[in-house]
Amino acid sequence: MLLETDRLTKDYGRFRALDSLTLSIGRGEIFGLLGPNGSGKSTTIRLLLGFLRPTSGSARIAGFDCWSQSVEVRRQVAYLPGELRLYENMTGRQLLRFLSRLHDQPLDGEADRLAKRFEIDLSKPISSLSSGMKRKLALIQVLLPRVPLVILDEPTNTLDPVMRDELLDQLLHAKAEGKTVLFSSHVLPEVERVCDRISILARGRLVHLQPMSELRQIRAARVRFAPGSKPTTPPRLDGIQLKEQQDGAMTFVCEGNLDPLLGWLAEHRVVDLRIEPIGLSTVYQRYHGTVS
Amino acid sequence: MSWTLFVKLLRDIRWPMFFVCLLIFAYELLWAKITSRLLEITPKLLSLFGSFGAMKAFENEVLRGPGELIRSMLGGEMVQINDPQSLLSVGYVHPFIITVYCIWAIGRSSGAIAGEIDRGTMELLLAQPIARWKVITTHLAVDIVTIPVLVACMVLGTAAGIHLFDVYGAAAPVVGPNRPVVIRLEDFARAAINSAALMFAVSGYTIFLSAIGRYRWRVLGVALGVTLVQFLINILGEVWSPLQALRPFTVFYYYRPQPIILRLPGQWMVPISRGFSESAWFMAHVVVTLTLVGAVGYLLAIWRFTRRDLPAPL
Repeated sequence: MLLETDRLTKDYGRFRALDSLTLSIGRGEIFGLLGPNGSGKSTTIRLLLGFLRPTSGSARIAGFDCWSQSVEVRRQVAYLPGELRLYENMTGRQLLRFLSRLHDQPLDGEADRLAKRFEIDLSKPISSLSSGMKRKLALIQVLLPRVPLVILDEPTNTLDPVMRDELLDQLLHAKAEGKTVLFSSHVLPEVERVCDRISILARGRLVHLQPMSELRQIRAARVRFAPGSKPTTPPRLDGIQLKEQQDGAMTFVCEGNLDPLLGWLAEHRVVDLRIEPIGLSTVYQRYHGTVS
Repeated sequence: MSWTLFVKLLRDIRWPMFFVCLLIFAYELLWAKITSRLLEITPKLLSLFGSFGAMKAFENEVLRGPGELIRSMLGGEMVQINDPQSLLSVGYVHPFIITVYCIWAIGRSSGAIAGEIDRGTMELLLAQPIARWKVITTHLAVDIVTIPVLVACMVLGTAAGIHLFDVYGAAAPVVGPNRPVVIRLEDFARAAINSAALMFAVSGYTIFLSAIGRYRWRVLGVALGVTLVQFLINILGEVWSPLQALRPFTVFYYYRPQPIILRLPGQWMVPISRGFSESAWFMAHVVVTLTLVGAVGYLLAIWRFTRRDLPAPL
């Protein structure tokens, strides 16, 4: 495992911002960290980078303790903060060169390649760039270093849809290169699109952890029966759960094979049947109500 | 320290540094002009008063009571109107130059940590593989490079002013026809070491405040307040005995460029028992004491900054 946390906890006075987070992320994985504001996403990321000292528990990246060996940890990590602040008195190229030198890595042609893809002029002073352009520059500084782990805190904020797609493509490209990506987001469709695994945090606790491949196997089946023919009792089938029922209709959550459900429905008079993946939003709603 | 960060920090301050250097140089140049002018009018004053003794008596009468404060700020009894070396030394203790030094030290050091946290750029910096203690020691390196340059501008200003405004020529009639006019520039350079140590001390305690702070303006305000209180205690303590015992607890008590410039006995030493007892039972070296204050400030900053949480940008 590249990243491991063990009962990682952070208190601010009496307020517990993160509560016993135990998590492992493997190499080459894109991992999504979900949750509303105040759920502990940023605290988790800040603990991983050694910005915060854990109240209890520990976190390790590539075997290094995130607090006591944070310099070694940051040698393995490229990070994009959620609240972006750059050195306004530099040009884009000067910033990239400065950060590359701190990483002991030369600034090569990759910077120009990324600048072209993100359509940004690196010779301009950062103070003259729009917030979207600054975001693009920050994304380039995250994608440049040759590190095994990329951590992004709400990376698509202020990006237009085209650039958002470009970023997600770059994340998949990073994965293809063997990099691990950990990113937090409110935007569920983009998480669904690129993540291998997701976790949901609520009030500092990990409440849901699931591979996306597994989530894609979970479907909702909405069945409308012919008038007067709705079964009085739901079926007792493996992997099939009755989620809700209304007049003449039932909704099932199906995990895995649909054959048993379809076999049971064949014994009844069905007038309408809709089967679709439940999607991340349904899981998210289970913990946080409305979807952001 | 981090060489990459060091170069960036120097680049960041290059223009403010240039203007402060220019300001210090110009100020000492002006002070040499004032010295030249004072020396030029001294024969006229002498003819008015009759003797130096009468002039001194007049000065004592004018600067009696609250006027003592003015004299205390400008070097007190050490200033002799017929001595160009002592007149030029006032330029090294004048509140203007002390203010410039303190504002530079406080301004730079308050921004070093709290300023970066306040702006949110500390998060960007510390996301790179750089240890927190290295951030502090790199700022120390910046102090070690910039402070000598600033005080060198002070000495250069004095040197340039002496020649530009012909202080030798203006002093000759006052000193007398058979006595040479003596201005020892090397003494001003030695006094500049004391000025550098003062700046380092102020920078040291400010960087500690910066390392525990979150908002630059708050750190700036506290550091300015602490410095102003020390300045007032030191000045008032000279004329008001109840405050005298507190003077050794201020950095300004150890700022004594005049005895160094005038080569007075014990020029580098000050009694720290003054106010507690009449006997000078313990003497402190002015440069060593100020350097220690600065060093302790930096050590405390490292100790605190490597243990604190880095707050999220607002």
